[in-house]
Amino acid sequence: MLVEIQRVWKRYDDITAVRDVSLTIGRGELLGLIGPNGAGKTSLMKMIATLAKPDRGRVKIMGRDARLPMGPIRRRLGYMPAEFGKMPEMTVVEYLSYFGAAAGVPRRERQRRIGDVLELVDLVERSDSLVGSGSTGIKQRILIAKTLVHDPELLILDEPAAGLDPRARIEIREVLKELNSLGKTIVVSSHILADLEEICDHVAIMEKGQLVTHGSIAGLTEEMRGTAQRIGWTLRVDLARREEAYELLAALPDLSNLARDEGGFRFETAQRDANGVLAAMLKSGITVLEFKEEGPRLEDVFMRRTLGAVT
Amino acid sequence: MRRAAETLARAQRWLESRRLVRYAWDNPSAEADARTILSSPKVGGWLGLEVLLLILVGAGTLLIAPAEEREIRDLLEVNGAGAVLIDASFLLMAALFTLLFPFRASGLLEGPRWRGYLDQVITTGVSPLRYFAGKWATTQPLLAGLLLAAVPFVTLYGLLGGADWGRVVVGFGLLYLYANLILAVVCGLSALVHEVLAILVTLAIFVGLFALSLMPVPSVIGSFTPVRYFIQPMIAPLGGAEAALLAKVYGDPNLLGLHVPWLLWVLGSWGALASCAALCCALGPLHTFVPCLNTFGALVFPGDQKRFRFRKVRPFLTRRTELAFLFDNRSPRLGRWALPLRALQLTFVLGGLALVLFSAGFAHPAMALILHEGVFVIHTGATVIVLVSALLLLTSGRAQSLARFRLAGLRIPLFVFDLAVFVGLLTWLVVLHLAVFSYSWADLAMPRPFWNRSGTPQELFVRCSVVLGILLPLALSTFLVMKLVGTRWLGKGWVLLVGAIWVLFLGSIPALLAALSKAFSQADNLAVRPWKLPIYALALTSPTTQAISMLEEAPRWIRRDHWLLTRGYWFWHALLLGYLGALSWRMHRANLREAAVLESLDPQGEAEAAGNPACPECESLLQVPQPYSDWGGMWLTSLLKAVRCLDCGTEFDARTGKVHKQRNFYLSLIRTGATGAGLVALTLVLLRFT
Repeated sequence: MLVEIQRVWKRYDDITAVRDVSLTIGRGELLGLIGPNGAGKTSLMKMIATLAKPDRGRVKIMGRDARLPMGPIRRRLGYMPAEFGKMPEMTVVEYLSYFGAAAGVPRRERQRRIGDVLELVDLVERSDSLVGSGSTGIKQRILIAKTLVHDPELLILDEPAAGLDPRARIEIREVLKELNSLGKTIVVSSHILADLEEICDHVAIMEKGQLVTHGSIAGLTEEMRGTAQRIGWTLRVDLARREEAYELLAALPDLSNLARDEGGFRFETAQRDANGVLAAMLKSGITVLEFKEEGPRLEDVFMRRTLGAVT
Repeated sequence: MRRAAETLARAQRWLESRRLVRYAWDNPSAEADARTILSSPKVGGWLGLEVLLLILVGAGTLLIAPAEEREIRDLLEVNGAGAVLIDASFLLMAALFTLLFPFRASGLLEGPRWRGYLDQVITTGVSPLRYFAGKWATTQPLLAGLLLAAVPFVTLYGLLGGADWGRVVVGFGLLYLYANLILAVVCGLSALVHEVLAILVTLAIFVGLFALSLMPVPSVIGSFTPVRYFIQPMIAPLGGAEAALLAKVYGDPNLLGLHVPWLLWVLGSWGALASCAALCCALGPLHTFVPCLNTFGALVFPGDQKRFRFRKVRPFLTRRTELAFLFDNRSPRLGRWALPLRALQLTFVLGGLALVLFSAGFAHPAMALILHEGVFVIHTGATVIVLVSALLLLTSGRAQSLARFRLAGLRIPLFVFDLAVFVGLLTWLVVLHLAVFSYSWADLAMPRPFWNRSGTPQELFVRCSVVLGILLPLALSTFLVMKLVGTRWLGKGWVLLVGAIWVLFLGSIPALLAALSKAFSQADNLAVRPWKLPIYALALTSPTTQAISMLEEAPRWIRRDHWLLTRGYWFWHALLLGYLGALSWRMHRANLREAAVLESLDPQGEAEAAGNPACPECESLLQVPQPYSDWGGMWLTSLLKAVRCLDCGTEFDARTGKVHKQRNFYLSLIRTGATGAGLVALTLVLLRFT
């Protein structure tokens, strides 16, 4: 395990920001940390980034207890804070060189790595522009480049998509996917669940300082599907015979919550097997354009598991 | 051209392959500094100012001074114009370096802090010493530039005659080392305190030392700048009738009778100072990550929600906590030995300060001419300066008190190290006290008419010994009180305030009792007069009363045959130190226990298994026995099983699970009354039966 968090508590005055949280993050995992505002995500991220020590409990990063000096471990992790900071006037290359030097990358190797990470985040053309002059999207990409310049094993990214336009979000998502495919372990916090669902293999949901649930996205949605009383479906048919299809569906037993949707219908069945619906359509000669199960998404898991309360 | 470029590239490759060069040059502060400082107009400004001043010195000395000052004219004739001008130029450069080099530390740590990217620097794992080394590295070319700019002038002046080129080389070397000493000190201080404060303190220290070097003070204290080296040749021509005495004063340092060669003393003392500063850069401020002080950039204390906004602003604590995360990057082995190293460093600094002050005070060639009171003031002043410095440097808040050194299964807290340093220093002061009087006895014992007026040298020794004997227990009790407060309070400023209040209290409040007892002795009411002796005996808890009774006129009605009335201060202080020592032991044990509870992986489960009652405020089960309380002191608090909740800090009764405010109020009244009555009874018994 790359990160082991055991029964960790963190308190600020009478607010318990993190309450008895235990979590493990495996090598090569891409973990999304989600939760409402004030759930304790940032406190937990700071503890993983070694910028906060737990009040109680134990945090182990790469096998080293966080209570011990963390210098040797910090060189192996890359931290991207939520805020860029006000850097002095320096170009993108100088900025990356500054942090590369801090991480102990030798000067010659640094030049090569800077070139590589600039290419990865698609900033080669802006390498000589000032770091402070770019848009939010550019700054986020510069921050990611900075996080990668010393080739860390563990990346901790606090809200990397915050304030980005849809295009930049997609680009950042692609970069993270690529990094994960290169074998990096990534912990990322975000409010945008769709983004996380797209890229993460594991999620941890926090609320009121507690870890509500933790596991793979597939496992969590499957678990939710297993506990669901009824299964949702979407059916799209030939527009010319839409009314006929509606009447057919309305006549079928065990089918409920039938509703018209854009170019089709939505309904629920008690069982996972809906072959009867398909058979009825085919028997009447109605062309089925699309027929799919509406499985629970990460959003559903989040809404089901959280109450919207903050610490 | 091509060959030159190749040679340059080869040289660069060779330099980069050197580990030390890579360590100093290939780091973020060097990266940032090389870009912003070395290429900025600031360097041009520094060089321009230096050149302008060197020209002015040359022109001023050669054209104006000979016409105005006869002594200067003589000096130019005796030493040679070239030698004088070179020394004057070096002196000027030393002054310039004194004023400029402290500013080299600006923005080193505060820049990233204020700009909000220090957290990003920290998470790169950069070692703090390497971070500081970058600053040192970029200063070297700057310093070389400043020294090289002076070379043409020095050569030109040397050609005017009288120049000793060997001295010139030593002079350049001393200036180079001096600039690096200032840089090391300012960097070391900025690791401990805010950079602005560090710069101001460094400026004050070196400007003060520069001024002292010019004044006729002993070389032990006047050799922390290279000034003495440059003015030594001028002493004989300028000294006039006192030239011989001044040559002694400005000559080799006299270390308690031992004459140390000037250059050896300078190199040794500068090297020692620079090493201490470098250790500060490597170790940083002492800090343990206790709850509330263990998050970068967010300090929230219990009760902050109810506090006014300005009371939540804690710039010094915030800075120290943030820097503690940077110094977490130091090598683990160095971190493990931080406490012994710090103890060694403090012993060296404080011991050295005492040695320098006593040596300077008693090594003056004019000592025999100093009045009796002068010797007394020097002795007492040096002792007080050393003790106050020790208390300031050894102050610790809660975040430091919990620091431990683990060795062979033992966990030795900071308190043990600090106590060892402090007791060692007190012993060292006694040794110095005996040494200075024995070595300078001949000077002090010189048959001068003033001895007849103000007592014999032996009486002076006794007076100084009495004051030392009064100051040492007072310092020790203050140290223990500050350490006790420091186990609970987070801010060091508050701990220092308590120490000051303690000294003021002991110095003034009980001393008022002596005045009261004097009034009793004169009162007509016969019923109160028997109380005068016990009251006076209790007034001797104050160092002021004891000092007055021994050094000045004690009331005539005091029985000189009773030890409690003549040496009561030491008796009361022995009792007090015993109590404070026991309390310190309990408090530090409680701290260790508390740390063990918090370090446990399942403290909640262990607390449940132990059957701990829930806290009446927050229902937490985590608690530790309270070692001391205002209402119950040390023993009653334990007897009534008072505990402190580790989550909210509430103190409550472990048997009932309640706070018992009213009961505690009455208990505090009873306890105060009983303690007072007990002390009076003890005094009466001692006066009557001993």
